[in-house]
Amino acid sequence: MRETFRAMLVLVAVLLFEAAECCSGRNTSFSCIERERDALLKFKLCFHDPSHMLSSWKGNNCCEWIGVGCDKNSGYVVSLQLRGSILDQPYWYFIDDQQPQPQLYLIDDAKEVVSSLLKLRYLEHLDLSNNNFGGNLIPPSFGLMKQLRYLNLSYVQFRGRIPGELGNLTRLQVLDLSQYYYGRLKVDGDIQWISRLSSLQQLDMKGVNLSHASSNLFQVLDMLSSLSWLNTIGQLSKLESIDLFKNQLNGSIPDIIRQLSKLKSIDLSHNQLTGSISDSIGQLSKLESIDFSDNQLTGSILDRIGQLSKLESIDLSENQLTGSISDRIGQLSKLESIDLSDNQLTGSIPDSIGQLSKLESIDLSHNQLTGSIPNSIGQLSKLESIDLSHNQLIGSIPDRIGQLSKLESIDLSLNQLTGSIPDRIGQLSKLESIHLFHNQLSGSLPNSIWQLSKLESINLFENQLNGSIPDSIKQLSNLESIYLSHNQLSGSIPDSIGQLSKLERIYLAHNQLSGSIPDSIGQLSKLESIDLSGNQFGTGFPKWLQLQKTILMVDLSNASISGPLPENIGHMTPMLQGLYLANNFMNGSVPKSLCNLKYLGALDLSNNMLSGSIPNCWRNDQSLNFIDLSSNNLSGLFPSTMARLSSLSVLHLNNNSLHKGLHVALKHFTSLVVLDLGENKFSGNLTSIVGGEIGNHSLKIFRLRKNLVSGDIPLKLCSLSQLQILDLADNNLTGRIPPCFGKFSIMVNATLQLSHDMGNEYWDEAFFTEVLLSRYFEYWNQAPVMEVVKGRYLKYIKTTLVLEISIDLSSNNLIGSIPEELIFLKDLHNLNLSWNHLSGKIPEKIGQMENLESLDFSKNSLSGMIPNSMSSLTKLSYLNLSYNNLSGPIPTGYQLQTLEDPTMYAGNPQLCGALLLKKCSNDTLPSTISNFKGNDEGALKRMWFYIVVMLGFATGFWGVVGTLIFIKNWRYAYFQWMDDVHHWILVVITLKVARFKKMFNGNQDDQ
Amino acid sequence: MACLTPFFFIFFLSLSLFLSPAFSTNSEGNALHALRSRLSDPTNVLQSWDPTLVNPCTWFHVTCDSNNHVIRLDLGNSNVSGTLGPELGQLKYLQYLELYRNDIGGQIPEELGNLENLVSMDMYDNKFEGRIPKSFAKLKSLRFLRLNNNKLTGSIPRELTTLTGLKVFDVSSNDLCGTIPVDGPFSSFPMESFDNNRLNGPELKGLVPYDFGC
Repeated sequence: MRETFRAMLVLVAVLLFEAAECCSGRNTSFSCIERERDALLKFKLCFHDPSHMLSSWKGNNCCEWIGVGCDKNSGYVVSLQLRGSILDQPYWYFIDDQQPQPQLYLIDDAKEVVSSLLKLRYLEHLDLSNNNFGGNLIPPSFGLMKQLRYLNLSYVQFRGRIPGELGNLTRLQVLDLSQYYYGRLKVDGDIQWISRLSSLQQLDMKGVNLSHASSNLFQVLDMLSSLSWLNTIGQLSKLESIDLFKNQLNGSIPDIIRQLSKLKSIDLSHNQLTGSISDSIGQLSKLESIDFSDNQLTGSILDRIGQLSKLESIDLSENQLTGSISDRIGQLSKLESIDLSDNQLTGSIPDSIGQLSKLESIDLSHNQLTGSIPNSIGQLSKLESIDLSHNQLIGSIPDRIGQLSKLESIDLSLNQLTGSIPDRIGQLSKLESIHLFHNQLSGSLPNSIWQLSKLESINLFENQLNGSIPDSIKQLSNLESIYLSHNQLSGSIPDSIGQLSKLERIYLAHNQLSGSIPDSIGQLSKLESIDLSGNQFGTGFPKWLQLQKTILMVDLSNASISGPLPENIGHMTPMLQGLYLANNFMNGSVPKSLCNLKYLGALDLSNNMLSGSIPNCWRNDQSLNFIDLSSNNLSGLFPSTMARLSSLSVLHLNNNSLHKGLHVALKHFTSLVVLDLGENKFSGNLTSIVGGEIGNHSLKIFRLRKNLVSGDIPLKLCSLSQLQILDLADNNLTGRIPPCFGKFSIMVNATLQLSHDMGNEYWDEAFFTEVLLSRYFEYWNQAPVMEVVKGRYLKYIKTTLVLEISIDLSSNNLIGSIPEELIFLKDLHNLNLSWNHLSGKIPEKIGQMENLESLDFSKNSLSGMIPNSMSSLTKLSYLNLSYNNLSGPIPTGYQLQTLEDPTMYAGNPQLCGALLLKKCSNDTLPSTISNFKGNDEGALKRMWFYIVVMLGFATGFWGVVGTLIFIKNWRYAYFQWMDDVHHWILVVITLKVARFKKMFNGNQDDQ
Repeated sequence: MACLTPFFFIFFLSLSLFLSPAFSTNSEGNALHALRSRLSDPTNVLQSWDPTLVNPCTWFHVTCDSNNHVIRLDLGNSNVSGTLGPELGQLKYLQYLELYRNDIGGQIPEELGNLENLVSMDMYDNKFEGRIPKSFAKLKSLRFLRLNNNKLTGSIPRELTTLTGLKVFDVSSNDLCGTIPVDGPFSSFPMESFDNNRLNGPELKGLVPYDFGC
């Protein structure tokens, strides 16, 4: 038994050896031609070969050399396979230093390579891909190798123009010129040569710049009326695949493509193609795969595409396609994958989609699809992934989704789905990710969901789900992230959550969770971020955090946490990037160890009961960007070492009891956007606080409200060109308002700033991730700023903070007049100069500040008239001019007529007007003149009209009556004529009445 | 059991009173946001109307009172167009509705009659069409009503004569018909307020139908 087995082994070994010999061409029955061997050796000399790829190229029989293939009978070299080590990769894959290491480096002229290869007269197959030809041009002499059937020069780092001589390779079946780096290789001018490649079956030109082919490939075709490229493609009737991925094509897909009747695959992705997908595609009956993604195609789809019965995959994503998805899609019976995402498709998802029995993946996300999810989706038994997110789908999630037993990922987020999550979802045993966030799903979380043991990501935030998180969550042993924020979940977090050893992200914010935060969270060794804000845990600062050496983000704000922050927090969690503990009941001091957190970007301890002084140990290797310590009981000095935090952009220290001399020196805080020091007890001179030269500063919000700061307003402030909120109110400032305030450029023209920091796209996914992971990093507008506007303390945050533009210098000891220059601040919304000692007149042209909504000059010593131009402030909704020495009439008209509370003018005994007890005498009649022309013009017109009417009447009346009085004959004739007319009328009326009576009676008789 | 009924009544009444401010601010923001969605706003005057904020009191052109109720809407001369919707009627505390000098068209919503605190409604210089809503008779606090320079049709609702506080009423330059009421505040309005319409002079009770010529 054992003997026979051994014999068989020997036999098999011998056979294998024979086979190997045969295949490697190492056949001793023939040897290579000497002339060809010399040529190969010459070829070898052209290269530096550090990886010894050609080390076998020695000895006589070149047919035995690795990579060389000879014809068995004649011994001629027929194939050269000298592919580099790296396999085919998309061209972008190696950007950034990750360039592949090719094995052959050209050290000679590329022409030499070709001239040596030309001696191999029977060479049919040439593969030099993935080697390094060092940016040489493709030698035109390649075109002389007419016997070639296969030419692969992909990723060899050729550059420049592809020589038209390649068109001579008429036997070529495969041509691959793909490139890693887009545009290094290009097709220039004349591209007819491709048309001569009449045997070509596969053309691969990934990353080749075709845009210079007389501007673009397809437009050329249309311009050259008869042949050229139109025929070029057309003649390539054997072509089975086109791959022009990322070639900067523009223009439309040519109709001529229909002639490519053998085409199985077409890839025109990542170009700038425009126009619609022509019907001609529908005639390519052999087509198996279409990829037109990332273009600018418009029009509707899938009307004729229903004919493509062999289609297996279609990708039209990232275009501007409109219209609805045709019902005929159900005819594509072989379809395995469909991606129509990122278009502008409307209408509902057709029911016929359920007929696509082979479908494995469907992506219709980022469209404007309406209606409900068809029930037929339950028939797609092979479906592995479904993405219908970011549409306007309504209705409930079909129960039959539970039949999709192969489903691995489901994304229905950002729709308007209602109802509850079907219990049958628990049957999807292969499910790895479930995304249903931002819908209106209600009811409790189905218990079956906790059985999905393969689940890695569960994302249900922003719904109306209730119920609690059960102990059985521990079954989700593969769970990496759980997002259940912004629901109505109650109960406590189960202790068993600590068993989910792969968990990286926990987001349970803004629910009604209570109880204590389980200590078992400390066991989660991979935890990166945890957000439990907006719940009511009512515990102390969690001890489990000590075990979290690798955690990046902790958000426990608004979670009823009390007690002190651990003194050693900076050592416990060395990787921490974000620490949010706002709106709790924390006491004790701000730990010094925070200065050790190198990676901390955001620190929010606002609205607690922290006391003591702010640590002054900040280091320049820290990356703090956002610090909010506002609304605590902090005292002591301003932490001047914060100037070392070179990336600090938001600093809120307002509403504490910080005191003593303040020396900020803005020039040290180079990247500061928000500096809020309001509501403290800072003293000192404003000039020394601001410091020396400011330079080109990014500060947008500067708040010192309600401190004890004194001195003049330094002119240096005017160089803060980005400033949009300046609040120095309630201090002891003296001197004049600098006229250069009129130069704050954002206040002059707000459009200068708005483009980049609008937080309006709240549901943009990128923004969403940003907000969750590092809420405050880039968004300086995420912490509120208090401003007195329209007589009220208002809290500006997010959008309104970005847009608010305000100057408040009220309650100081400022003197002098209001600078005329302030009128240039035409985008200012709020100007408050009240409670100072300002004198002089209100600037005459104040009406130019057309965006002013709230204006307060009260409690000063302003004199003179209220400028008429004020009536053109059409946005004004709050005005206070009380307690000055203003005189004369109150202007009226337009907006001012809606501001009719007399107290806004009180305490100006010389003012008069309809609102006041003192009415204006005639000579100072209130003028309604405003910048809207036409009002006074109209009055003038009307006056002229009356004058003309009076004149007309006088001449007309006296012209007739006067003549009758003075000329006797005319008078007689007139009265005679009047008598005649009178009689005539009487007669006519009597006659008519008689006739009507007769007719009426006659009609009655007839009946 | 019967004795508990008044208890429950009072309980729910006080509960609803207690909760009403919280709800109303939200609903006012929603109403304004709905208005925003109806308007086209080429100069971005409504850019600050962010519905994710707690209340609309920091939105531009919106003014609240100390209870965070919207009392003013100042969109005069703002280059907006579009139409108004019924949701504006939810701004129960609104005193000033200033929409003058824009390009707003369509009908004036009947629901504006619910703005019982309204003092001033300025919608002049727009493209409003249809009738002046009879529901305006419910605006008991109204003192200024300027609807001039629009395309309003139909007659002046006679019900407006019950608005005893009305000081200014201007419907000139519209396409109104019928006769002009003479009762109540209408006895003191100057004739210019009615110019440039198809109105047939003052109402002649009993002699001529009120909407004569419509």
